[in-house]
This record gives sequence, structure tokens and C-alpha cells, in this order.
Amino acid sequence: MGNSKPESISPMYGVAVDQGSGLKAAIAEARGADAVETDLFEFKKAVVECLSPEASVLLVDAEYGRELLPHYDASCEKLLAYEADVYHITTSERITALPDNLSVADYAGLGVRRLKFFLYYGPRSSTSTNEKKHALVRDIGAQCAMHGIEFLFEPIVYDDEIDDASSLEFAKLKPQLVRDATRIFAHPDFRIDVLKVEIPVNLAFVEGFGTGDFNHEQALEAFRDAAAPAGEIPLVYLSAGVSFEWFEQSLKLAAEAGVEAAGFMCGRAIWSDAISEFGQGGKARLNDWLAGEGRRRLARLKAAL
Amino acid sequence: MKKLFNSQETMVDDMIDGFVAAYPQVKRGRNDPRIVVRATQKGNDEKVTLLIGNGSGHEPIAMGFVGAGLLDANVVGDVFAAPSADLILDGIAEVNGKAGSILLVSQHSGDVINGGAAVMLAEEQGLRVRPLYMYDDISSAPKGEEHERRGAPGTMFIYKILGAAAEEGMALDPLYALGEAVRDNTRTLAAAVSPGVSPLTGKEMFSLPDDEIYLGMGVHGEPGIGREKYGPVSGLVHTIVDALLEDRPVASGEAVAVIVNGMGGTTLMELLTIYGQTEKALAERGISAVAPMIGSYVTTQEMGGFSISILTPTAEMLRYWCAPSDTPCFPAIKTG
Repeated sequence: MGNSKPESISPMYGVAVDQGSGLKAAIAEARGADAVETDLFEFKKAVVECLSPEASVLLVDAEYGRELLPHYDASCEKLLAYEADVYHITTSERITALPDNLSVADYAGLGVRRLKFFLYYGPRSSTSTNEKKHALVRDIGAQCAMHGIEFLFEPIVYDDEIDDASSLEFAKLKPQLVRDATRIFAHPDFRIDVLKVEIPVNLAFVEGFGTGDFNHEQALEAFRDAAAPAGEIPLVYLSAGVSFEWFEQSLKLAAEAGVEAAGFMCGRAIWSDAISEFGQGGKARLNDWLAGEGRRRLARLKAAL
Repeated sequence: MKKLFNSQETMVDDMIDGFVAAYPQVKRGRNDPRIVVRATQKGNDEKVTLLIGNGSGHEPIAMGFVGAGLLDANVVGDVFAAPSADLILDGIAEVNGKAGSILLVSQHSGDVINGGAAVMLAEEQGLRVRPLYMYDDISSAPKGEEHERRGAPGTMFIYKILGAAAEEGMALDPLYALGEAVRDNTRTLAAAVSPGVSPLTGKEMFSLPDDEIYLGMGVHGEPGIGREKYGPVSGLVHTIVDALLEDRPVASGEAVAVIVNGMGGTTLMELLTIYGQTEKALAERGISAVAPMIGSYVTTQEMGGFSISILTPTAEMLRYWCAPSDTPCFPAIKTG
């Protein structure tokens, strides 16, 4: 009770490898006849071993995380997701399932001082749905405070009226959704220590990158507008499945906009190309790729901010 | 490791299909197929109803304990996932009557958060329900901070004793107080010897050298308090009994009820050996073991290991502990 939280990580140059069934399927496809049950774990272990020496923090999931923790480089902070499986969220309210085999009280015993919780959040969804989500986040925040665990919260925005998150319609709404989610969860009631937020613009519609529906200045303004409500809470950007080059460009835009982001948390954008390397050349080639191109990509993202 | 399921997506529902088909004491609830209820409900305006939500993968707990003299409903979550607040709310609504309900919550973050939210939503709907947070694992928080501890197999004392008392018509407030008293008199400590294999990942859930035992590891694989060298089980049992009695002393001449719970991959041959050693260790201190429950009831797949739970019962608690029940999996308890 009343344990103090760890010092914030600054800057936060993060790598995430908390993906579950989707990544498992992609690896199985790449490995073909060579696929075995332990491939996903081996892939995650390679990411941890090759990239944790260069990352300031690395995120793993609740299912595999405990077996991955011993493989971290000593210089890298451990971040453990508090979700049962974010890839099996099928209800209309999209509320994340909590694990029954991991409590916030267990984190310290595992040598982990930082928790990540992911939640789909629609700022324009019904009041009843969002009140449930607010209560859930508030409860996790309270447990983190009680046990001295840093709380990193990741709201992924959506809108009930727009099914296609890759559409121009959603791209036009997204800066507002990210801003609203940031504003709501920056409230001290939630006891959130770090907000992990999406890039508010979709480069596919920004001039110089895509169709030009947003000009350069509008894109910069979207970054500033979405980040402003965070106040004193550090913001880190997540890659959310975009390509490495676009994530790098997005971070540069954030820097150009003058957003003082605390860092980034990058998953697929760093290591998704390693899946085919694993498929073609097994563990040796996977490790070579991660230790070479993977580390170079991490260095480029650090430079981008 | 080969696991005999159809698919990850259907494994929980397939299991419940088999469960309700096999046992006449239970059926699926009306509100959601993930709710298991008694096949024949008593008049719930007169009887306080008891229910619990938990992740699956730990069978037979808790759906195996639904039936006369025990639970009224079990809300079944996904594998190793706490059931959502909405699903628990559906479970409460399914069995709640004028006499009220107690939602039993084994203390783990997900269950506490979702259970608390469900009770709040139920109260907003005018349902009379109280959450009883259960904790007994002495390895998860030090003495003096018992309320911080997690739920462990000793919580089965609460299920059974409250189940029997509710069946006899005890009202909500005294029943709740009885539950708190049982909780306060119960202590548990576990030892793990080998991991279970997650049906989700196909991978062992933790690793442990062949010559070591993990003391204090929870049934879900939560971190323990230390490793011990593997050796004759009598030494391990003495260590556990010493720790339990240090945490909550029992005077010479008293009797305690004992649960020896296997985690899924430990044989009855081993569990009976452990019980025999437990009885001896207690007898050396002048304490008699009564009304034991021995078997694998709170499991994590094929995880190897066991826990010892002791309850210092009042006469009333012991009577309810040994009262008859009719559920798919709860054994008959005899005082001997």
C-alpha cells in the first residue's frame, strides 16, 4: 500500500512485441512447413534479445511476458501489458478483457514496475459504454497507484459511425478523436502516468506523402491540437501498424510541429519485415536481421524525434 | 504440446457444452451461454444466492461447484481471462431475488475490477448484491496486510460453508459476516513443481529447474516467494505448515480443517502422501486435522504442485463444511 512509483523513462525509446494471435498467424504463414508451436515465442525472444540493448523500454504481453523477462538487457526497462488478449475483442463495446493469471500486485514480484493497458475508445460512443470504460481505467489506475506501478495507458480511437479506419472520412475525424481521448484521460482521476497515443494524422491523405487532402500545415496543426490536452502527462506515439518509413516521417512531423513527445513505442514498424526473414532463414537470419536492420531502424526513430 | 481442442475460438463453449450435457445438476443460464446455473433453482426470494466469475482453464473450479448446497451460478470467462463486468452482471441478474446475492470474488486484479463494476451496475438496477473479496494466500502479502493477499484454494472453504448456510436459509447480512469470518480463519500456501501448458500459446507458462520447487506460486502461475531444493516431500510439507501456523497461530489441542489441492498435474497418490505428512506435522504441534478435502479442484492445466489450506473452524463452520451438497465435482466431506 502506498508504494512509490518508479522514475519516468525519458526519453522513452520503446519497442513493443506484445502482439498475439495475429502475429502468430503471420509467422506460421511465413514459416510454412517449418512452423512449430514455439515460433511465436522464439520470435518474441529474438526481438527482446536483439533490441532491448538499444531500447529504453520494451513492452511484452501477459501470456508470454513472464518467460521473456529474463532475456532483457539490463539497461532496458520492462513494460508488461495487462490484457488477456487484445486481439479477441469482439463485443460491440470493445472492452478489453483482463487477465485472470496476472494481478497488478504481481508486477513487483516479477521485477516489473511499469504496466500498459490498452482500450478501444470512441469519444463519441454512448455515455453508458464510456462510463464503463472510465471506471475500468480508473480502477486500474488506482491499483497501479496502490502498488507503486507506473501506468501507461493506450487508448485506440474509433467511431461507431465509421467502420473503415483507413478511410478519408475517418482520417478527417481522427485528430479530434485523439485529442478528445487525450483530454479525457489526462484527468488526474485516472492516475495515468504516460499516455500512449496514436499518430493523429494518416499520411495517406497528407500532401507530400499521399493524396493531399491535408496540407502540410494542417497536418502539423493536427499534431499540436491533439497533443495539447495532455498537459503534464508525457505522450508517447505508437506506430499502430503503419510502415516503418511512415512512422519515421510521422515522428518527424510531430517534432516539426513542436510537440514535445516523451518518445515512441514501436512494434510492427520495426520488426514486421523480420517475419519473412524468419520464414526464409530460420532463427539465425531472424537474429541477424534484428541485430542489423532492426537496430538501425530504432536508431533512425530516435533521431526522428 | 498436443491439446485436444477443436479451436481456440470455441474451446470454452465446447467445454461448457460437454459439462451441461454430462451433469443433471446444471444448465446454461437464460441471459448468456457463459453462465452456468443450477438445473433447479430454489425460490430465490427466500434463499440468498451465491455466484462467482472466473476465467476458464482452472476446472473443475468453479462451475463444478454449482448445485444444491453450494453455488447458484458460475460466470465463465475466456481462458485465463476474468469475465467482463457485463457478463457478471448478467449472472447476478440470473439468480438474484429478494433475499439478495453474494458475489464471491477471489482477489485478483481483473476479478476485483470487473466484479466491483458488476456489483455497482447491479445496484443501479435495484438488485441487492454484495461482493465478498476472498484472500488466503500468505505468500502474496505479509502478515498484517492480509487484505492485500490473493485468493487461493482455501477460498473453497468459503464457497462450501456459505453454500450450506444459504441452503438452510441464512439471511444476507449474517451470511456475509460468516464469509468474512471463514476468510479470516483460513490460510493457504502453495508449492509448484512443474508448469502447465497454456491452451492459448501451447507453451509452458513458466520454467523451473528439475531440482527446484517454487514456494508460494499461485494456481495461476503468479510469482511466489522463493525456490526450494527438491527433496522428500515431508520437509516441504513441514516448511509449509510452519509458515501457515506462524502466519495464523493455532493452539495445541485445536482442530483444523485441511484442503490439499492439486494444481492439475499432481497425482492423487502424491496428494494423499502430502495429506499424511500434513496430518503428522500438525499432530507434532498438538493440532488435529479434520474433515479433509483432497484432490485437484483448482487447477492450471497440467501444472504440477499443490497447496495446503487450513481453516480453524467454529463448530458452526465445521457443520456447514461437512453438510451434504449435490454438485458435479465437489466431494463429500467427512469428519471421520
